[in-house]
Amino acid sequence: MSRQSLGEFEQLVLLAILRLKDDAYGAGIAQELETQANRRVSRGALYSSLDRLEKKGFLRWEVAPATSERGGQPKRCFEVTPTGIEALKEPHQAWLNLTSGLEDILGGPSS
Amino acid sequence: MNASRPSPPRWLHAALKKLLADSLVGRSILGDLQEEYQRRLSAEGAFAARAWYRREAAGVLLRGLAGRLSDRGYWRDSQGPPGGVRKQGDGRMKQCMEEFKLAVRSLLRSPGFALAAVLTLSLGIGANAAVFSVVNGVLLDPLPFQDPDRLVIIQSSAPGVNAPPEFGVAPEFCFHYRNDAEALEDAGLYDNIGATLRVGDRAERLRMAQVTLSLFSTLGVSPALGRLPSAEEVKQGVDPILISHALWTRQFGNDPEVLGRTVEAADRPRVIVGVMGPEFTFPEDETQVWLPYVIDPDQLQPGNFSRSMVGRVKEGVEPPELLAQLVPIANRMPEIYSSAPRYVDFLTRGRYRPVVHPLKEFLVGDLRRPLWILLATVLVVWMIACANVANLFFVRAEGRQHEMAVRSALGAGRVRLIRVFSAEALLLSLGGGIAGSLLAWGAVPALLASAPPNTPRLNNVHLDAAVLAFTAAVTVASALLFGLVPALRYSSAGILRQLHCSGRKTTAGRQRQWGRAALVVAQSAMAMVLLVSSGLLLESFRQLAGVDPGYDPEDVLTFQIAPPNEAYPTPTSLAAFHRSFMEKISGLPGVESVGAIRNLPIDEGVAGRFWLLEGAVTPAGQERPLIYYNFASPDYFRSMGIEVLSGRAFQERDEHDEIGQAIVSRSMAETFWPGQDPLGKRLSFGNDGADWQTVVGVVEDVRDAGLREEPKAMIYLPFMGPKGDDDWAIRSPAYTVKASQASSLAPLIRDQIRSMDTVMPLYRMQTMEEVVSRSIVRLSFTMMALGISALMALALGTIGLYGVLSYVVTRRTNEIGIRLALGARLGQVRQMVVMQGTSMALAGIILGLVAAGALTSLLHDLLYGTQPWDPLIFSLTTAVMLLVSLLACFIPAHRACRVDPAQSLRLE
Repeated sequence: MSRQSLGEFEQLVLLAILRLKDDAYGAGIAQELETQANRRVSRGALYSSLDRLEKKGFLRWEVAPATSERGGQPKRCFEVTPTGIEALKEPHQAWLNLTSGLEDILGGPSS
Repeated sequence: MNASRPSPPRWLHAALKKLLADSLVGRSILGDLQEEYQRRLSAEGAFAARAWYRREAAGVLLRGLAGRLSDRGYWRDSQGPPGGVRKQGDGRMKQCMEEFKLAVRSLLRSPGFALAAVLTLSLGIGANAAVFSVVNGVLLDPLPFQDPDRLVIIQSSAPGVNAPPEFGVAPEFCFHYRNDAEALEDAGLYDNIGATLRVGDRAERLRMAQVTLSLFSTLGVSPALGRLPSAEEVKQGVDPILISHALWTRQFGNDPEVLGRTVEAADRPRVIVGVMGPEFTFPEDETQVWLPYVIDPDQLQPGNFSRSMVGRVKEGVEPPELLAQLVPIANRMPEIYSSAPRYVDFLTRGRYRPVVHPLKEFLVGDLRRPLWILLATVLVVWMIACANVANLFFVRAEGRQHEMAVRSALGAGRVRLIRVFSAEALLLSLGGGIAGSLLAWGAVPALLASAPPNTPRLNNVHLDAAVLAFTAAVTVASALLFGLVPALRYSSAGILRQLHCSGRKTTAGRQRQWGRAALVVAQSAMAMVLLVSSGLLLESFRQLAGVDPGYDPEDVLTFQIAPPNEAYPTPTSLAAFHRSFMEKISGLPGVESVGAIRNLPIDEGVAGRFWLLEGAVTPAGQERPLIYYNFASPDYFRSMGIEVLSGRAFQERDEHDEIGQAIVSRSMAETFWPGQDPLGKRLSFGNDGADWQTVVGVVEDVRDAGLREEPKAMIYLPFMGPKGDDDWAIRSPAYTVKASQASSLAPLIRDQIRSMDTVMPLYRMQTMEEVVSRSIVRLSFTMMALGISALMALALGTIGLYGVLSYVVTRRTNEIGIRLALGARLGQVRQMVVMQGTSMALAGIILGLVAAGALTSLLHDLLYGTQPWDPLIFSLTTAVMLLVSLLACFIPAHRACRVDPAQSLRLE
């Protein structure tokens, strides 16, 4: 698979899916982004991104059975593919490299 | 928590469902939204949850739609779970665009075909758009009043006396109807007059309307600027008036200060209290001033049936119900006004009865038939145009058989092939539609300019949304009509299979030829109908132009002036003025004689009265027949060339003469004094047989009401008034000036009037020839419109026939070559081609004649001096059609004869 860059929002979406593990479906991802990344997520943008990420091969999904609170509609559970994880590693590493030594200014886990 | 669990906003939910429910991905999105909505409902309450849903669902909806349009296929595929290869969306839109691009390219490759098709279509579509804009503006658009469907016009009829079939209503009727008829919510009277408006030292003759104040509330209109006057104001004699928007703009430069200004209108100072909106043009398009009055029941003089009455019926009341209530009220009138014996006599003997019509029907009823006929006509032209383009398409499709075969071999399905054709058809009709709209845009002003005068609601004719919608519909229908038939035919599997087998071009299959022949037959039939119709109208026009109106309109100039009241307050001063004015005019160079008449023939209606005739033969029960009368100056008859049959014309001394003089028309003498000498007989319109006027002359009949109407019995009285009426005065007669060259006289007369002491407007200046030609303009307009359509139909039909024949000859070149090689004579070949052409044309002509026979009776009202089935017209037009068809056959036949046998055989 050719290397494709990830947008910032796309990174956040992938991270959220990883954090949610088995429970990564549309509503949950949105909620996770809203609580952890503290940003309002437009559902239209979210589904477009999921679509795009799937097309790039960074994630895949399977169908979970419908529940009554979903109005009898099926649920798509997302999973980040190994390619997706690879794609996340690069910006993550860059982030770590660039922020190391700046904990005083930015604040961080080590401080 | 809410027990009832409010649901998400319904319409959004429904829209989303429509967009998303057909794929697994979509359904899962629906589920996510639903789940989160439920969560938020519990946590944040219904209001916040619904707001959230609205926002997010709208976002999803927009992206989904955009995705669909751009064919990115968001959330559409029903592909199974993980990892499957996503198929690029079906992209119907994209494919269509592709198809259109192809079509553009293919049309550009044959610009001649494209141009011919677009031009032909633009003619058909443009004519339709133009005529429809008139039909829509005049007939279809609702009247610009409040609830116009509840407005009716109330008229009178008195079948028992010699009165017009329907005439106006008298004020006392309006008063009682309005008070007593339950079904009537409101009602008002109106009356059109021509009167002078003086603002400062400018004087102008305008159309005005005398209206009851209640007319405005009846129509549900109020002024755009200012206000309606109150009933008290009107009664107190303040004479408030309302002016039209047009007058406000033209005369007062849109100055709002005009309110409260005093101007002189209809011979009295009056105060402007309001300006009506630009859309209010009632009763006439030209009405500029409204003079309101209030009916005063104590001052009523019964019997003035000259007003028109508009009523507004209550919600849900139909005209017949209203009529049922009006009849008993009308029947009580003789009782209420028993002090006027002649009035009572008129009502009872006349079997007076009210008549009710919907207002719109009354206003535009006369136009309905000619306009629908016109629309039908241009629709026929459009159909012929479409048939022509369909033919072009057939021919083109023939040439593209191989392309189609190749496409089909490469896997294009039938739908795909139809799309190829449809894209071209749509593009062409789009071009035709645009060109046609432009054509209509240019043609509508010309159409309106040539429309008959006094055609109501012409100011409401615009190229508006309705017209555009109609044009668009016609455009799309064009594409279907000429595009789909060839598309279906040439994409059919059978044809393609046949194609695969046959490498060589031979003659086209019989089936396909049959399709084109049917088109040609239909075209000829339609052209034939139009040709016959316009032939009938042309004949009517010829007949009408040959009618002797009873006078000689050549080189007669007529005009009116309005001398002001204050300058000529008495009948005597007015009489002196008219006399000296006529003398001045007769001194102008080239003038032969000058006359004056109260009501000019054709131009204005004449009034009728019930006359007592001495020694006359009158029908039983009609001792006092209704006879029309007019007032003429001594030289009127000479200036108009009206022949004096016996006795003499008026003389100067007859005016205010002791014995009273009258002149009668020939039919008057023949009707009422048959076999007797009318000279010396006496007649009177007084109540008790006093004030007799003696007949001193008989003149030729004049067609007063237009060339179509048989002349009426007519009584002429001296211009300065009948005996016994000292108050008689004619303020603004029509002068008739006979001169060696009437049209060059106009500037001289204008100078003459300008040089007089008082300012008086000059109006209705026209030659008698113009008056006459205007009277037949309704016929000439329809004739012209139908004639143009017929010519277009004939031309298009001929081109169609020619096109098909040429094509057939080209296709049959081989066959003709073989025939020639086998010894056929040229004459035989020519005959063969001509026979094929004429047999198609003949079939069309016969069909057309049958259709024309069924349809021309619709023209009945317009025809004059000819019958809907006039055999002469039918045979003449048939001959024309045959001749033109033969011409169309000749060129292809000629070409067929020049086929070189050797050449064509080599090809084989």
